[in-house]
Amino acid sequence: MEKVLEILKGIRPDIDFEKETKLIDDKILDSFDIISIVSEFNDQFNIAIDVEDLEPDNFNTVSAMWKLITDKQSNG
Amino acid sequence: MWGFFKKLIIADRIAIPVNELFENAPNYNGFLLLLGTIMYGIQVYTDFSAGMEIARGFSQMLSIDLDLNFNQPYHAISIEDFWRRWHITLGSFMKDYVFYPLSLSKLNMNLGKKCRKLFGVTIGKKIPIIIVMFIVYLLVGFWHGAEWKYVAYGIWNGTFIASTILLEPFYNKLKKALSINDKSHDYIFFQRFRTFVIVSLGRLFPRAPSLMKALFMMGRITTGWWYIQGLFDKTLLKLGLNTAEWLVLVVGIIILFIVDYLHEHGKSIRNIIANQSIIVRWAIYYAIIIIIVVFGVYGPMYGATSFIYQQF
Repeated sequence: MEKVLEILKGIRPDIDFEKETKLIDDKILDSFDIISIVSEFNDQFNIAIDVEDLEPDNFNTVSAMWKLITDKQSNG
Repeated sequence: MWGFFKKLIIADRIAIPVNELFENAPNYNGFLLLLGTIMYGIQVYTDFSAGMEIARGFSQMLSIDLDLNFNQPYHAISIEDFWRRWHITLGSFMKDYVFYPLSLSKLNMNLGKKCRKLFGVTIGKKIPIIIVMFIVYLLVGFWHGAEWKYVAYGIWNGTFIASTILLEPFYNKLKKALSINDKSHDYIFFQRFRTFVIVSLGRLFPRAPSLMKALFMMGRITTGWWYIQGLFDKTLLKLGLNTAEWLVLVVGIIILFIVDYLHEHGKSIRNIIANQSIIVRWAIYYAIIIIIVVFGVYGPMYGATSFIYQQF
């Protein structure tokens, strides 16, 4: 989880990721951010997030992103 | 009714001088061509958004709520922001079916890894996104038609988006060095004006009869825009509109600006009118209908002028 926050702050240092709960619904993150985040997650956690995973629910909060990562890791 | 106002009072009226300036560009100086380009920007916005709003209005009468397609695009502070506000349904389609799938493809991910090794993390991670953005905007260009001028339109937009992504660190340093507060009204006004100019100049490509004519116009605009006397030597009155018509057009554009400004700041004119008493409300409705009927432009033989985007 700490690593996720570190990655997110590296991409968008202006956002308080711990407080925000609607990162996608409130359009705080844009499509460039999403691609950068997914690319970093795929590299850092050795997973493969694909287009089907790009649902707002998976990226609205840090904990949702962490859940997506752990699901991907456990599903191999 | 707002759709009819925009279409009949602004779009179809402004189309008359725009057509003259674009069809006979060699006869006019750079300033008038610049004015024509800016007017075309207003024409295409009022025409296209009017069509969408009329369709939304009729749909709402049938209890069908269509998605918003325009969100005050001329309040955009960057080209990227503009394309989030302009033709939103096309943008969403491109994002879901082109941008995301291409960005997350294995080929693009591997390219990203190679770029990061070659150019470092900061620039390396941006290159795959820039390539995909170029493809997206080329497709947006092709969506308008299979001609070189549309390819140029795609390249124009793609280049500005790419330069914004690549030069972002430089811009941030420049803002810091010049102590620019990017939340200040002055700076936001500058950003909006800059975006409007870039978008308007880019529109030369799809609107000009050919790529060569678009380049000719751009050359003349960038080298001869100071011929401001075009405003005062009565050339404007030879473009198809008389003084009264120009006045109606200018007032219409001012109303458009005020309405867009209010919408941008979260105020709905529709709700404001709906909250009035029945007498005031219907007085406003009738006043708007009369204004549209009296000041609307109806085209030759009272046949309505076609919507620019009806063929797409």
